[in-house]
Amino acid sequence: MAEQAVDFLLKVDDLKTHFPIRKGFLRRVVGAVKAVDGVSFTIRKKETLGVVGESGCGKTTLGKTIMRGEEPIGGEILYNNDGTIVDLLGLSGDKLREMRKHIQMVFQDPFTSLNPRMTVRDVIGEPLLINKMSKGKALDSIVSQLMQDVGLDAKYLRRYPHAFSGGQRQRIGIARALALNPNLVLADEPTSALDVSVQSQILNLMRRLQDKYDLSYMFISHNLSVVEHISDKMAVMYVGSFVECGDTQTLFSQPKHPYTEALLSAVPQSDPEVERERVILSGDVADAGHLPTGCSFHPRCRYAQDRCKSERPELKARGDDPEYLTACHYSEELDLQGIGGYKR
Amino acid sequence: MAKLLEIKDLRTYFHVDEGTVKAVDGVSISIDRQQTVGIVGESGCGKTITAQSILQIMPHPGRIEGGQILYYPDPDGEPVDLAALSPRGRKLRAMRGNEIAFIFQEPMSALSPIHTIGNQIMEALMIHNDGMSQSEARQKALAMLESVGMPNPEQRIDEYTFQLSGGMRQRAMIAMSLACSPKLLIADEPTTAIDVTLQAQILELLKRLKDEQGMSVLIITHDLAVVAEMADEVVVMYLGKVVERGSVKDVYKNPSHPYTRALLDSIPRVGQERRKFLTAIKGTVPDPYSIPKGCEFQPRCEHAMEGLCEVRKPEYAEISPGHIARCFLYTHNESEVG
Repeated sequence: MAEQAVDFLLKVDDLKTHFPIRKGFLRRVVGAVKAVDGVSFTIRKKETLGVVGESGCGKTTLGKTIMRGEEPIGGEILYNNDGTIVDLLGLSGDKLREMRKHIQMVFQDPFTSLNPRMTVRDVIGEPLLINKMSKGKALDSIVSQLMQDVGLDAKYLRRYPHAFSGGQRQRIGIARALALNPNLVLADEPTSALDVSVQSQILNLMRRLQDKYDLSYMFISHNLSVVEHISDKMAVMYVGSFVECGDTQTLFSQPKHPYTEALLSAVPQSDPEVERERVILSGDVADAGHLPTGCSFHPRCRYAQDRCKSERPELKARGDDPEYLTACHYSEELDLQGIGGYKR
Repeated sequence: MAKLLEIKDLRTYFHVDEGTVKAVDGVSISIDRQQTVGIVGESGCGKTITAQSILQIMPHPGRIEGGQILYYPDPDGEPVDLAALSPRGRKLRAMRGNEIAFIFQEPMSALSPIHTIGNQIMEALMIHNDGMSQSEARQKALAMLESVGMPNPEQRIDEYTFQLSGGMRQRAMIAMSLACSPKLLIADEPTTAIDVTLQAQILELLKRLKDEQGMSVLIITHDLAVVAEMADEVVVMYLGKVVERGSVKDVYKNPSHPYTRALLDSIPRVGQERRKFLTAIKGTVPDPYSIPKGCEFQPRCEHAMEGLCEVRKPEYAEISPGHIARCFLYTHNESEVG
């Protein structure tokens, strides 16, 4: 392992998080909801990985599993701690707590993720207190600095969250995530609860902080335009697995998976003059408790063939670029339309 | 084209202990027959209250304090002023769901959990059509479910909302609103709580039904892209006022009010040149008890002119025929700027 040149910050390999389905008097396990089912990816330093998918595709569970908020049933989560590779799944107790400093999370709803009975100082300073990294006056000054970093006036230190607007609360949430000086921030739908004018402020803030602190982001969202804006590379998730993963611009302009094509064509365009052909997906997202055989997308796929019904496609590089991964048997043969379905 | 609905200088206020919230403050919108009009704005701009005022279903203690809502049942006939009707009266009740129907953001809270969806659609039909029999209503309900693309309508008609997926619920609600063939459909954030793929399905469905039934649609959303896709006319609202109004083409091509321009600049757009930073609007929407003096947008505006914008209320200026913006940039004389 030591010989190998390591250029990743986080490497997730074949991660699986299943939830048991219990039935009957004895609550016997009769099946499993495969919320995350064999996901692999890497995030480099200062890189942003965007994860998109419809509700129920497992993107939030994926984030939680990386934080060890859910226990996976298999796979590896490797974290590069300045050259030492640590398997996060092998840790517990103090060692896990130590590693958690490096990975922090920003939540979706700033109205429920902040304790209403704690002042801003306590909310932002709590991680430092818990980790015994600071206290008293020194803590005050760190918190003030963090507040300035995220564009809040430090004189509001003693206020409670209710006195802040949604955008300001999200800034508080970000300040708290940054308190421990993490390398990686998992942001789960950080702008979904915000108005458009505030959303742009938060996205700009995240960019600025990334430059300042060399952060890596894993940005989970269902909003494709937002993910396109912020991510260097992105992954499209469909019922528990990635179907396509690679450079953001390539993915948007030349998608290689039919699900990505459909997802892109569904994004409304804020230009009334654009004429386009829309791929309307029939049916609903597959049930993660009863996955279809073969490719999980085949019942809704307009290019599906017999092979797709029986053989599950693996996520791997199928073209020239070794970093561009797809999970479709026919990704090299299909000619799919990109960016919002523009006819070109 | 002939007018269907004309809202003139509508004012809907909420008198509460903290003061008066002017949720809708002098809004004028007109909707032609078979036209789709979109109202966009951020939360708190009064777009939902404007829509609810049409049928007077806004939450307590909201009241229409002024203005007219003229509804033209016949193209050549006399209009009815909906604002003058009693919110509990029979006239307005006969209108709700029959002439003007509403679809809501959250189907789960708009549909009854203890009635089958078939019964809910039939109820609307039988209330508004005297003498319609049970079996006739069922036939009609079935036809409605079919036309909104409900899979397996014969089975689904006897199911409850909890048995349906999110998309099916949305379809059931649309079927219910359209059962009485309304002339105007008001859709309040119809796709906000759902995924893009389902959103695309629902928007296509609304477009198709609008053409089939020849109705007008008023769509309320915060999503500028949804309006661009759906609407002929767009109304941009900010703090209870219309700041810009015009055809979708004019407004998106030549956004004239600084707020509209800023909104369009602040959304990330797929397929456009990538920018490292978005153009953000500074500050946040002020709270409704402390509306800024002068122009409401002035504290957040890039183009605010000292001595003018914070002193006087701007007037509407015509940018091009049918395209208006409420901003001093188009009406002030140089001498006024102090």
